[in-house]
Amino acid sequence: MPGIDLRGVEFTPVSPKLTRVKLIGAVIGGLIWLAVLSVPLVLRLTGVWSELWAWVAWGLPAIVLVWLLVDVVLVPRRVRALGFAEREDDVLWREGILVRSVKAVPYGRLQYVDVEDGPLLRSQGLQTLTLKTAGGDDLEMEGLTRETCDRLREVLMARGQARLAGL
Amino acid sequence: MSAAAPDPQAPRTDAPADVAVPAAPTPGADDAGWVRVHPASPWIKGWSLVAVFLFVALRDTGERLVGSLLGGGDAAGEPFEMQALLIGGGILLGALLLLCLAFFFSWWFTRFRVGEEEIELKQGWLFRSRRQMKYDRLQAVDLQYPLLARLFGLAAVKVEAADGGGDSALELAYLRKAHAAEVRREILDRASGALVGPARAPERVVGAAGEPGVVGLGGEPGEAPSSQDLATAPGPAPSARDRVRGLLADPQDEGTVMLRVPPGRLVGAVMLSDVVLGTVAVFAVLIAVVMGISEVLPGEATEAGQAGGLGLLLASGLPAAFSLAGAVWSGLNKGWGFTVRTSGDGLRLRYGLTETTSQTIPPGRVQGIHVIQPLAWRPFGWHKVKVSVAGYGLEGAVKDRDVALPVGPWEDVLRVLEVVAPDAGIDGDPRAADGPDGPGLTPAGLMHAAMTGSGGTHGFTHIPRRARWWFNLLTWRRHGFTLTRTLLVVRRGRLRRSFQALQHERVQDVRLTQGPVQRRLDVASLTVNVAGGMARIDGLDRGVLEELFEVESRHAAVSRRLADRNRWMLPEELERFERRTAEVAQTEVGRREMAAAGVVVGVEGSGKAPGRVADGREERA
Repeated sequence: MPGIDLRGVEFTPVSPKLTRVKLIGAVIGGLIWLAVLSVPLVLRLTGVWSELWAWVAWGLPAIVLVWLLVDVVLVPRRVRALGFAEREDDVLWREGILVRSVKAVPYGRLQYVDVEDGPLLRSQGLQTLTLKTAGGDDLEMEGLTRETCDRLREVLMARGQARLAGL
Repeated sequence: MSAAAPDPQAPRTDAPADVAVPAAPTPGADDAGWVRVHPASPWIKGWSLVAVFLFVALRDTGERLVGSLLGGGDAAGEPFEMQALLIGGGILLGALLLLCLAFFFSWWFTRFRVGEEEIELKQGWLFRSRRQMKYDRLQAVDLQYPLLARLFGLAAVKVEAADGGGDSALELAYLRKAHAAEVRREILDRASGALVGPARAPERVVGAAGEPGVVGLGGEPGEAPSSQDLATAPGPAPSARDRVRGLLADPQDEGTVMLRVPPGRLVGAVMLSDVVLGTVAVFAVLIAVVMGISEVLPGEATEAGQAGGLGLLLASGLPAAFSLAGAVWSGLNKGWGFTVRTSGDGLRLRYGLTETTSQTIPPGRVQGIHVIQPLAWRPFGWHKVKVSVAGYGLEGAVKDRDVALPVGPWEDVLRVLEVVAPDAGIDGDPRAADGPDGPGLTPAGLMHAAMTGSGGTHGFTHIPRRARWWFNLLTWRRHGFTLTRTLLVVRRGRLRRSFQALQHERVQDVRLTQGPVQRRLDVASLTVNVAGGMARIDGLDRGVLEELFEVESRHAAVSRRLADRNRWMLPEELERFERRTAEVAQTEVGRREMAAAGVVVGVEGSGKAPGRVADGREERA
């Protein structure tokens, strides 16, 4: 099937370590949901709420488990789909497996950049770089190693100026 | 996923030159100049948390105190009371400690730096963030004194950028008032180029209560005069454009009246608007259904059924009627007496029944235009014109202030567009040349084609036939775009027609998207963002949109250089710009970038000669 394919653009994939971070995140989130949605089942099994339909009691946690499973299966592919490319005048970001998209942010359009991380990301040496333009549609680049992030930040800032100068 | 997999982001040896920047530029240099906000800041920001804590603590002890006072000589209750008091106190103390710790960490990890080229703010302990903003992105610097902060003699410095969001780009909160004023001045001085060189020693600034303002300013001999007027002026600092505009605009100039919207037409337009017609249509259907149901019901149930149905209609109808009345009223109120004038600084709008609003739309601020014609307006030939205008100057509430013409015939649309719409850029276009089948395309002709046209004429590209069944059966020949030298024109809608025109040079960023069905059809969608607006093209051929993606992203990158440099720069800004360029050129990254961009940097440290600077600026600069 034909997909978006920009000629001559080679995307650099993000760090594969992001997969682990996302997996841990997905599992933690899934477990929390599981705990919450298992309450009716526990109530039914302990006889507190015995009139509850069995399919509801078992179905809720089952949905969460299936959801979690699908998520876990898809995470590696989703991470592999992420990538960036620095071009002469702009930076490109690619994402998505089902709905794919490519976004271009020209260096000269940057208003400011954010670098963020959390404990999980930090443990893998990863950071998230957010580029803001006046367009209001932020570009969030996930899964960059700290070195890449620092380098990109520096380069983006320098390029903003240099590109402006290049009449 | 194996963690041992080679990191694809590691700098490659065969990568382009700019990729091989040393990972850690100069260790140690990154730590200098960081300043912490006032230690009381978390307490003020988290005042509600503190208030809850105090409330619980005081209520508890208060109740107990009152209880024990009233209980007086009740000796039996005493030991129990003491124990409970101890436990309660312990819990409260623990909570207090936790709060103190959290606030301490929050304070300890909030640092900012007013650097040579950018302002930076670091926040967070567990989840950390670091924001960087260059001075040339600065729109305004405000001092803010919220009530609680004011009680402690503190203030917040709010730095605004044109980021399209409602929040400040950077909020340095809170600082002692003198320090805040100091920081604001330093930011303004640096932004205006009055202050260059390394960051001021933060200790001096912090301890500079006795010498406000002089630090750093006097420390740079031979520099450009300080922008004292800017720094001391209350309120937001005017951006470069505002300053230029301020010079051009004559407040006394009311302009010449170009057109007025007659009341009759406005009433008609409001009555025939989508909201009104839509609501009426929904209710017509509902009534018909109720009638139909009562028809088929057996005789004796008819009356009851009708009554019930009517009751239901009334119950759902009343709120709908109220909201409808509200919509009609606001439409009439906003559009009443709508007058468009032309003046030296753009379109002057005046409108409103209960409250007259005056508004100026400078053409330089218009990012894009949007012309709409609801189906019911077509017999009358009416249209509505909206403009996308970038932020700060127009109060940010662009949402209901974006109407340049509430309703008007096509001629009015053209007259308004003539002022606000940018150059159509079709001169020199093959379409503009007179051909055998008639005269060439004019700007007005292009707009007309965009409004009413269909199919591939006038250079429009529309949805391919193969993709028409995917939500576009009616509009597939209509929805499309065309390019001119300066504009991207997007038309859409068969029944409710509209078109948008965006200037290439205003494009901020571009996104190309493709869903699963689109992939099967080999089509895609493209979103083009400008400040305060966007245009979307859905379901066109993938290859065509890939090309458009390249065109728009290239335009976005390149035309800004031209636009920024020769249109809005004041002499001192140009000077600063050249100096920054030279500074950037001194750095390793900068040199490579400059070379890549084809800029020749002179030995004396000034950038490429400003060839396209407006008259009169060169000798002053």
